Amino acid sequence: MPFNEIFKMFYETIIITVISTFFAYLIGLPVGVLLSVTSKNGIRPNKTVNFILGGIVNILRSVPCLIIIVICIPITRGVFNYGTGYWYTILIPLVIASLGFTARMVEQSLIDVPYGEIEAVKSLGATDFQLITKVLLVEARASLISGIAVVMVNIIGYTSFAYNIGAGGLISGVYSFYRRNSGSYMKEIYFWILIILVIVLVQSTQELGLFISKKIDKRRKNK
Amino acid sequence: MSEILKIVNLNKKYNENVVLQDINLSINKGDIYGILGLSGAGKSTLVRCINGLEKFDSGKILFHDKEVTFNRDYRRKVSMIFQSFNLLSQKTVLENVKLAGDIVKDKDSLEKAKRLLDLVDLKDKYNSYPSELSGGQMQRVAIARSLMTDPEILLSDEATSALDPETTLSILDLLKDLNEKMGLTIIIISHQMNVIEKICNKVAIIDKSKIIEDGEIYNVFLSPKSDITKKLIYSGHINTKLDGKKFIKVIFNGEVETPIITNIIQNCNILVSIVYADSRAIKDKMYGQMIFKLPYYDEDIEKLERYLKLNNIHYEEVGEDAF
Repeated sequence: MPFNEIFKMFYETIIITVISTFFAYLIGLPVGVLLSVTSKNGIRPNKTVNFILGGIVNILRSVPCLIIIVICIPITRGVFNYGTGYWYTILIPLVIASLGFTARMVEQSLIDVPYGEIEAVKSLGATDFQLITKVLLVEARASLISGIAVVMVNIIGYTSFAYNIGAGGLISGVYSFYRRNSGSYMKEIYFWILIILVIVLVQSTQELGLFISKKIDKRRKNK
Repeated sequence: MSEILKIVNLNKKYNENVVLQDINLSINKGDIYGILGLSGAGKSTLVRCINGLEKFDSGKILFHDKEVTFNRDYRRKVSMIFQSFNLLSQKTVLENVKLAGDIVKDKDSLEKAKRLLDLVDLKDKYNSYPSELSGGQMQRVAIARSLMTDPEILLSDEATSALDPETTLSILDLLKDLNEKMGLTIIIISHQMNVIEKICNKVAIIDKSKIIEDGEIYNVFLSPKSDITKKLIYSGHINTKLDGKKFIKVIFNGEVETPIITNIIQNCNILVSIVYADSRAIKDKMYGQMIFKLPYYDEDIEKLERYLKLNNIHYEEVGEDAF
């Protein structure tokens, strides 16, 4: 297995993860904000909205990723012309599969913002929308960043299923390698290179997230 | 003095628990109005009802004789500071203060924020984050922020309760300054007698959801009517320094209102006897010193001490060798 093939797998995993995370947040962030705003102790409690959104999120989270991937094949085919076989064919199911999780992560980050800070700005005459943009999202940003890292690691894990629809990436590369060299795969250096790359990728995503989160958090004393 | 805020028959329940019952208050422009009560008495809920952070079940609040609707204009006229300061931890001091102006898209918010930070003595802390400040400094930032909206009333919800005694005094001095220089009406919630007595001109005592006594601080503290007020004023938190020795020396610096003895007897309803006096009147003002024998009962001693403190009369405790 030549190195440019490994590089292609590495690239696929990264681009799948980044694009999926972006869209998961594009939809999951507003949903998470709504979940936290409408919760019992939120800035505008609303049982109905919270119940319906929470229900959808819970259902999404309880459907196994592989099932979502299979169900999404016709949709993907409609959008990209191909339902399987290319790296981008796994994007839509990954976004859907990580949406619920993303929304809950955002919700939790926002719930952790001290209510007193919200009240103080409210008493200055802020609208609910201003409370969200000027208090909630700003105060929660460190926690939101570390949340992004968690979601990304989660999505890297989901890319395992890329093997099932031939969408490539490092982890399905590991499995393909085994299929092609089932007698001797443990003795091949490429096999271990792939595994080490996966571990390094996951670890560095996690560490980078934590590092940025700590860096921008002004609650702790700097330096 | 015109009435700025009036609370009429305010009632509030949490489920079956009565939190506020038939609250009536009248606050004049320029007042520093204290609301004193033990924890759980309902005083915090009361101020939160005043600025609309909490809803009430019945009754009404009048601001300049008009019933309050808690719209944005009203909320900006009635701003608030808190025990836990509630500054945004991710914003600098300057950004925290400026935010209050940005909410209404005030173009001068940056200049105004700087001006107010200078006013509260934090000129050199513009770019600090709240985590780098002391409690007193954080409360100063919060005060500057609350002034950004040009409030007519400032609500202070236990704003000094998390601070040490010295810092508390400096914050109270600042509030008093704002009251005198800007004509800011201040409503102070506290469970600390010494906070109220230090700067308030009027006080309401709240206990078990009801206001049990209110009026000029002078009248309420010197001749409390209800047992609870007496308890709040005389017990626990105040340790009179006037024990051990038998005499107290009062120093007349020309600013003491006379006749002091008659005033003490009438206002505190206690008897004092003079054991030594060396004073003279110059242009109707008294200079010199006078030594009293202390009354017998502890409660009377506290009354006397309170009277002297409230009237800013300098005094010290002395032994027999002082005269």
